[in-house]
Amino acid sequence: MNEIAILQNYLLVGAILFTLGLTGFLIRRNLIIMFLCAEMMLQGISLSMIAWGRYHNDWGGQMLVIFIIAVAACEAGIALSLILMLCRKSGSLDIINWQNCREEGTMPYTDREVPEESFDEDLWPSLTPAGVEPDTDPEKQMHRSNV
Amino acid sequence: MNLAFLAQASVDSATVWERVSEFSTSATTRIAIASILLGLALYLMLPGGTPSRKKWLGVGSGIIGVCLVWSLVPMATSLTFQSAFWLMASVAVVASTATVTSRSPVYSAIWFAVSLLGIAGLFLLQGAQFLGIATVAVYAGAIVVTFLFVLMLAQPEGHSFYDRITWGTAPRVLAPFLAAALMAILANAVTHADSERITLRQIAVDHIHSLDNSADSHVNHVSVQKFEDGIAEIHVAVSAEPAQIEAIKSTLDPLKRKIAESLPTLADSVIRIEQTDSLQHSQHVAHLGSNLFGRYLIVIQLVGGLLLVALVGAVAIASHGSEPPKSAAVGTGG
Repeated sequence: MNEIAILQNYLLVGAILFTLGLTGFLIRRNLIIMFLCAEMMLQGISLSMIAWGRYHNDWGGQMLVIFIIAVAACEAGIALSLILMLCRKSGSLDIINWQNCREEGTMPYTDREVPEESFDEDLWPSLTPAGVEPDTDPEKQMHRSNV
Repeated sequence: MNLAFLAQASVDSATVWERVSEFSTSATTRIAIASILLGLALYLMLPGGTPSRKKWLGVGSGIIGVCLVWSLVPMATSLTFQSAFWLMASVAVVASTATVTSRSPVYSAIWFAVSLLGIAGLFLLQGAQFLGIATVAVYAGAIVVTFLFVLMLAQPEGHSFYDRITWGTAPRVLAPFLAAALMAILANAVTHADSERITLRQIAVDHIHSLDNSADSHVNHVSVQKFEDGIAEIHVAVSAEPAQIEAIKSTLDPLKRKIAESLPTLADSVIRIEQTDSLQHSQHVAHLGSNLFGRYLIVIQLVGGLLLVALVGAVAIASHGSEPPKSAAVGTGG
């Protein structure tokens, strides 16, 4: 009973990760977040593979995960260079700039309303100032020994 | 008469209550309720105009939904294992939810790194030491690079509007609920296991544990297959010398009789002994390597080729994209 309990627990986590990644990939419009969501789907599959491999006492599960990691590395390389190129050409990471690639006859998607930025989203991570402020006396800086 | 009516009503309500409680405790209902809760949670948490107070409602319903799904799964016998699992799994699930739902891609990348730590912990918990470390090493590198990309490219002037909206109302409502339905189907498949096979396997495992130590310690794994004509096949994986295997074979003979007694519906049972490595071997990485460069040698060559192709492709895409568009038009006329 123990082994099947472990298997079921792992498969559930894998299913949750996969569906989360799928939703994010379909819903989000930022290229980088879409890329992260694709990676998340791969992670969900890897978890299931490892769990099945342990359950059947077979090396195949772990081998497949090694190959998944290698393929994910290839994907990361190509995806990041694509993102870099697309971002240079369109000036933003929004995937809607590339909707010219859509199927012929489909209506283009336009944003009807953009929600206002709320206050709590306005906060950016910042560093607390530390140390002593350097001495900025212009006369001293112009002294011969410092120039 | 009044009293009789009241008694009748109370009996009715009791049966109704019984039915309701039976309905609400059945696995399928719980999965359905959980999927609705999870869909609602995702809908409320995804960006697209919900005020932050409702986001906490989403977090709450998500937690309830996940707990409801987990109430269907049996716990592992070792409490240490189960609590370690819960810790890692909650780190992984919470961090991935935050990856999908945070407005800023900077936070998304950080949360993704955290969820990778949780997943690497889950790998280690399954005894996949090499993969746990490899995940952290490979992905930590990849995530640091992604993070630098985010800092370099995205929004030097502040938040961009496309992180606050999605593809309009219909996809925003549909996608979370469809994802939750998919999750419910997967959970349903996971929690409905073939009970006869489990009992069969349990009998075999119990028998092996009841043997004396020398036979028990060689057995790595027991798996059961049941065919349609009612014959069960029990594979016992051992790591032992051929002479010891003969001894183990003789100790497993009474198992057939035990199975026939406790499961009379089976036509016959076959016991097979195979010699395999254990995944939980003390020299785990050495065995992984000998498998990788033995049985999977051709695949690893192919993967090496794939990495090379991807490297060339990435360089080609990046360098082509950096060319100014003018020179491309003038140079080849196309």
